[in-house]
Amino acid sequence: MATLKKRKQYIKGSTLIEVVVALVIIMVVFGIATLTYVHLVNSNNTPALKIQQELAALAAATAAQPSPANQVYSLENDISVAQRVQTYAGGEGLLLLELEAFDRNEKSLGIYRSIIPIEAYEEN
Amino acid sequence: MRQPKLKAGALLSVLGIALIIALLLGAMLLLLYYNRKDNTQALRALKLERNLQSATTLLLSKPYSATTGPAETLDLYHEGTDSVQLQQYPWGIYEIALASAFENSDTLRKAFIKGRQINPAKAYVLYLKDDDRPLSVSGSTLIRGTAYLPPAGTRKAYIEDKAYQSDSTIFGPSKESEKSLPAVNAGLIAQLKQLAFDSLASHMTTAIPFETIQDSLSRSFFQEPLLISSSDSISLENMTLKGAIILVSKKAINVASSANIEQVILVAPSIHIADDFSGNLQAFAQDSLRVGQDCILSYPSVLGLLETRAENAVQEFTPEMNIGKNSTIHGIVFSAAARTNTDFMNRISLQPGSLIKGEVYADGLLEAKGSIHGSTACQRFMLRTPSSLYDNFLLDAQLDYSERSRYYLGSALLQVTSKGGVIKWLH
Repeated sequence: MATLKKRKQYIKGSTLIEVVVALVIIMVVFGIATLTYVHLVNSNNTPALKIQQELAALAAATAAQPSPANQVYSLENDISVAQRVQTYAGGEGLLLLELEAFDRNEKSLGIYRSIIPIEAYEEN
Repeated sequence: MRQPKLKAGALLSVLGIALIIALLLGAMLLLLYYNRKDNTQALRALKLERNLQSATTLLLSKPYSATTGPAETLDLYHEGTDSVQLQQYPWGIYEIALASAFENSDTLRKAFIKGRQINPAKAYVLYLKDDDRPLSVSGSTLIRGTAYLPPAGTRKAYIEDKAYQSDSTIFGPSKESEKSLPAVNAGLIAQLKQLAFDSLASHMTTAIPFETIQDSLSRSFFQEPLLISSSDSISLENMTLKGAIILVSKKAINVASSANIEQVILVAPSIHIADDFSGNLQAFAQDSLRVGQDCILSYPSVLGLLETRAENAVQEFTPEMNIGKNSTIHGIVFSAAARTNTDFMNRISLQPGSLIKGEVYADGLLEAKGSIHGSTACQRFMLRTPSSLYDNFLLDAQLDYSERSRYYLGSALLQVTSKGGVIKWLH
């Protein structure tokens, strides 16, 4: 009995302050990590890469047309693509092809520009 | 006896757990960081590829049809974000085009041999200069495609015990030819003549003596072409020469079948390509060019006979090109006369079984015993047999435009169109 009494003197539990401080630390660490992670995930440019690849595929199809013109395409997820074709100022027989993707709020998601030849055979 | 302390501090445990969580999250953040970096690099690579494609389009366009010189840097869209560098320099009768797109330290570049697109409306299988005499055809001769012929036209002939085998002499539309051949690019011919040993000696000091060359040499087209010269004859035996190399001899160049040659330019008064040789080259000879039997010269190869005889010089010999039996040339075979006098004209001979897939332009006589899949232009045909010499005769010759590849591209030498095309990617 005496021994048990003696041992009990050395057993210590957590105080309320310790538990509160521990909880605060965990919450802060978790909060910072989660915020950073979410921020990074949201700012990740994978969609930009995907959009560029889709614009490249559209541009290849347009370049193969005999006379490409201005027009608007609709892609998945409410993304629209505006195609603009104009004469390239840097050379005769060349066109400047611009494809710009927009989301549903008309926010630009990416632009693709390329110089393509006018397909018609030129004779001199 | 004193018992050890039993720790039950929640703070310490929580700190440990928090550290582990922080490490795990740190690893995830690192992963995301590299993923993002990869995406950025992929986006940049896409952009550079796009700009490189645009640069290639520019190089093939009309403004760059005759532009050669130092590299030119362009801002494609005048926004300071899409920079490309373009350069062209002549390579025999073709051009080497170099394009590079760059951003920060990333650069993508391309090199290619540039040719010229052929206008289908002006394409022909045969252009025979109007020499006031008809073209006689005999044996299994075939002419398929648009033919420009003298007003005297064609006639069927019986020679060497062979009669003409078909009903029609021309399988395609016939048009009247002029008193002269379609003009070649005189500037290009003059440029090629400048590669001759005597011309080089006067204005080039960068030539490397052939004697110093080892058995293998390769030169990138992104570098300045390497000029190798010799005042003696050159024999290419068991040698490998690849890329931007111009080999010039004052006397002769002999190419053995063991030589491995790609894209190299050979210039000499006399060039001999041995039997069974296989490779890719442009050979320009002033006096004699002989291709042995069973040779294969891959596209784009060029054989050129560049006369240097003076207009009123005393005749010593006739410049001649001979393409041996069963040899195949993919590209252009041509001769360029140095004088207007039609006596002792230069001569191109295609032996039986030989095949030219491309163009033949003979500013002189053409002996066509083989096949030409593409276009043929000549001042006059000739035919030598053991017993006779025939003028403007074709015996068992096959001239067929329809057999030429639809992807074939010509050069600035014969078809002066401004629209370029990629003949071959080099790097």
